[in-house]
Amino acid sequence: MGAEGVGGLTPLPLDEDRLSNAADRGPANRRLFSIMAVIGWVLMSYGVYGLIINAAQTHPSSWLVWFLGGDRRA
Amino acid sequence: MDAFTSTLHSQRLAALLGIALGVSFSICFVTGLLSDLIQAPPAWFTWPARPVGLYRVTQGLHVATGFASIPLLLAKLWIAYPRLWAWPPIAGLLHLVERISLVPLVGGSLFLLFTGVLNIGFWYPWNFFFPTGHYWAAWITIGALIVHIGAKASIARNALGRSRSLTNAPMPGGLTRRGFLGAVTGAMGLITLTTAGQTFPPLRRLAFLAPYVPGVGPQGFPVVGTPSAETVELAERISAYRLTVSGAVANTLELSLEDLQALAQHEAELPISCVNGWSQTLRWKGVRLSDLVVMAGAPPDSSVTVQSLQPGTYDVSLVNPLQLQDPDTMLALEVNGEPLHVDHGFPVRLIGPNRPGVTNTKWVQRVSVD
Repeated sequence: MGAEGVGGLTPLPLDEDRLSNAADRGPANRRLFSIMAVIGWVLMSYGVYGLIINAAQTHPSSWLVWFLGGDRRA
Repeated sequence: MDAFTSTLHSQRLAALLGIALGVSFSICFVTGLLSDLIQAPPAWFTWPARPVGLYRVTQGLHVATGFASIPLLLAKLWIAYPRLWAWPPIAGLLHLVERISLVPLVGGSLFLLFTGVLNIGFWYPWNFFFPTGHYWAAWITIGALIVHIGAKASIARNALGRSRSLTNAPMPGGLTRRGFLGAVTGAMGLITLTTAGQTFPPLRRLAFLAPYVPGVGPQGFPVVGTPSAETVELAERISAYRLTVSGAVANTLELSLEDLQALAQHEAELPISCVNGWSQTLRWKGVRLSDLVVMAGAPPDSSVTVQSLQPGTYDVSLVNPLQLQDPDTMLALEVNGEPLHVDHGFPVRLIGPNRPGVTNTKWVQRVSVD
């Protein structure tokens, strides 16, 4: 889509609040992000570990298909 | 060139909805974790018997916030999806970590809400055991949420600091950002109003979308888990029924229904609080569990296992010492002045304060002192 919006209407100019598909340079606060990323990935790893050690109940391949989108055949 | 022209793709809206989702997911996570701990308690965890309706509140919150999160999540995904087409997609290692973490965040959020709603409807079109799959997905999703908060906290703070008047301009003919937020809030309110009546009595008449409505079912309350043909047959041959109290006891007891009816009876008003979110207060009458344990010569501060005569996923439940000593924990023979219906556990079911419905074992056959 170019400068013209839906129905030939001209969209308002981009303002600083717009969430667009323009490029960004990643997390703004790198220190905070690094700490939170470590905590978050530890918790995610714990979740994956739990899925694997309880494979008899979680059926990881079926679980993963549903986690990624869902499929009755899974 | 920017392909996403709507002014609704706004950092401020994304920040507001993100905060709301963060709160609702945190409530869901904590209450869900608690429910799992109660149902499968590790050695360090003891769930008290009081306050009577605490589990009713925590599980009601779990389900209500899950429902309310659905429009929130859909709106947040729509607002933020232009970022998926950002180019170049990766601008460094930290950005790569942030972007990869979106897969478990979005996948996990949709998975939790979708499977949670289907579980309430008892529809399981997958191979995994729902509570286990849901539980571990929650850990993955909450981890991904923490990563996302780390990535977006500064941006959200800046966005919320901007003047509102500068960020509320609509697309020509479109919704304002305030209008969009109002629509999302309205959808959340509508879903909550039409489902919360399953556990919150003042809203019961509005519970159009609640899968279970208190007051509906045999003896005036819903049935979750029906008896097998074998259980019905055993219930019909009631003269053959015996309740066994065994384990770490001085005297093993074998009691018929008549024997149980001849013992001191206790009455209490207790809620039955289902993990699916509905709850209802009913008047129960039966034999105190602690009385049976003492009759068998075991101390009243024991922990016991109660077993159903019908094999199944929830055929056994634990009663910890705090719950056993509570005077309202009983093997119920009657509800609301009538003998239990077979769908509700005839001849005998466990009922106690502050317990998940699935742990109030029906068709009790054995009490084992641990």
